Amino acid sequence: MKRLFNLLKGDILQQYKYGFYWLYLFVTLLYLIALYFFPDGWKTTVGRVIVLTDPMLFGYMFIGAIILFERSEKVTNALSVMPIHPIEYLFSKLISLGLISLLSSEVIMLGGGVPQHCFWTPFGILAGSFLFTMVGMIQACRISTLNGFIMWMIPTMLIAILPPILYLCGIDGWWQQLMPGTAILQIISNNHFLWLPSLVLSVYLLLAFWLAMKNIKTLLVNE
Amino acid sequence: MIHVQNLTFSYSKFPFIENMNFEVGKGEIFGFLGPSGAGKSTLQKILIGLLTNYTGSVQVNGCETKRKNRNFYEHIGIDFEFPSFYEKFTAAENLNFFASLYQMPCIPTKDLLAMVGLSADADKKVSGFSKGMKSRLNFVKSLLHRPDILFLDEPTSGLDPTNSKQMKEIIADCRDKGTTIILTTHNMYDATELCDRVAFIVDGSIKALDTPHNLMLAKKENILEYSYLENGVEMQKQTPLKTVSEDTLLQNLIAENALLTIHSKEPSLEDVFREITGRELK
Repeated sequence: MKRLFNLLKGDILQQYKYGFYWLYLFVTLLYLIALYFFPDGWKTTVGRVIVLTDPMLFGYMFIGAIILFERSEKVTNALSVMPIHPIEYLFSKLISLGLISLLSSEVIMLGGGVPQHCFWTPFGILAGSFLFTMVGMIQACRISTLNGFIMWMIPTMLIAILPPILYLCGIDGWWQQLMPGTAILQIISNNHFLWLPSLVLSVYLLLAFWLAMKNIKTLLVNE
Repeated sequence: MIHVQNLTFSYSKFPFIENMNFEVGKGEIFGFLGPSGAGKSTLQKILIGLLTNYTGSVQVNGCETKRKNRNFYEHIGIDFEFPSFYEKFTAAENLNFFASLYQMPCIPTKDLLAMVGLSADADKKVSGFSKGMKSRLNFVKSLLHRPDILFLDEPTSGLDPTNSKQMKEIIADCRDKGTTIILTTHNMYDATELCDRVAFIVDGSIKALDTPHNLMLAKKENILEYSYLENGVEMQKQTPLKTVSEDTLLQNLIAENALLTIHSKEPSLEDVFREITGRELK
């Protein structure tokens, strides 16, 4: 536990030093200003879309940048011969990015007057952040350049965001229910337990966890 | 501390390291000397547990490296050839972070930085460090948890003579305190100066293993090299020291005070390496 805590401190310091928190602050303020100008009838829907995309997009993009930085600075080399376990490395990244995503989303929801449930909304935000942070991690472990990562980012974001946007627009096919973005949107928008979205999200989280662990083990050995 | 028996390793269907055997004792500085691509880095990766699909036995600090757990790294320190730091962290922040990942008490950061003359740079970002400063910082990073075994890959690469000397003194001091040190290098001067024993590695196998002194004595004779003028052209000649009294030309040149230069030439480890392996150290 102590080592995980120290890794977490290192990750938070890294994210601060590399300016990620300033970027979060800037984008959160931008979203709040944008929400202010939307008519009241739209605020809830737009706010939920923002909260849906915010943790996913930032968790995904920032973990890509973090891994690529660590690889280019050969920090992964150093970590590969230190007594840390791959799961500690993964959890440290998930918690640090998950917490900042949750904070940013809560500021947007509370500041923008978007209704939320005290448990299911933060749960959905964190689960979404964890999932897409792991997806970004899997891709960044296998790609060595920023350009390569950006090329993967476009289809990944389309798959993540398009189904829930269509769902919000009233287009509701069975396949959308099986997409992670729709599952996250349903969880953060409802006040009670939803078994299908929870099951879908759990399957994606388990699959992403397995692949992320596999890739981190390779990353921490082969760099 | 290190026992390697019948080690064979392959990246493809052809063996890259074949049937290698050696042992390294506690408090010994053991050098792997060889040209690029000889298998030194692969061997180091096997010894530090990063490559595990080998056959044979590789025991480091009493642990078969293919069956190690993460605790293995509490007792070994590794200084890779290329520095590995968060560039936007300061030197002290980097060392503090890496030290926090060990369970055992580490050497205080200020002591480590003082050891390599970086005390004044503790609060500077690593991105502003020169290559030599990064090398020194990387070196002390490998020492921070007081490892029993230290793996050093080209530790003096990119250092000026003063810092190189300082680094060698620290390495010798670690050995005196009982640390086992594995030095991977193609720098024959470092190997000659530091190593208790060296292994010549070429094409994934050990071609010779002994103390640098024994290797130099056994494989090549000392020679005397001199130069003189002949018809206005400078000529050079070499003669073995043990038969110098039979060189009549030299005796005549001495009698006529006609020598331009004269000096004895002892074989270097590089000469011996070239003679044994037929390869250059580069």
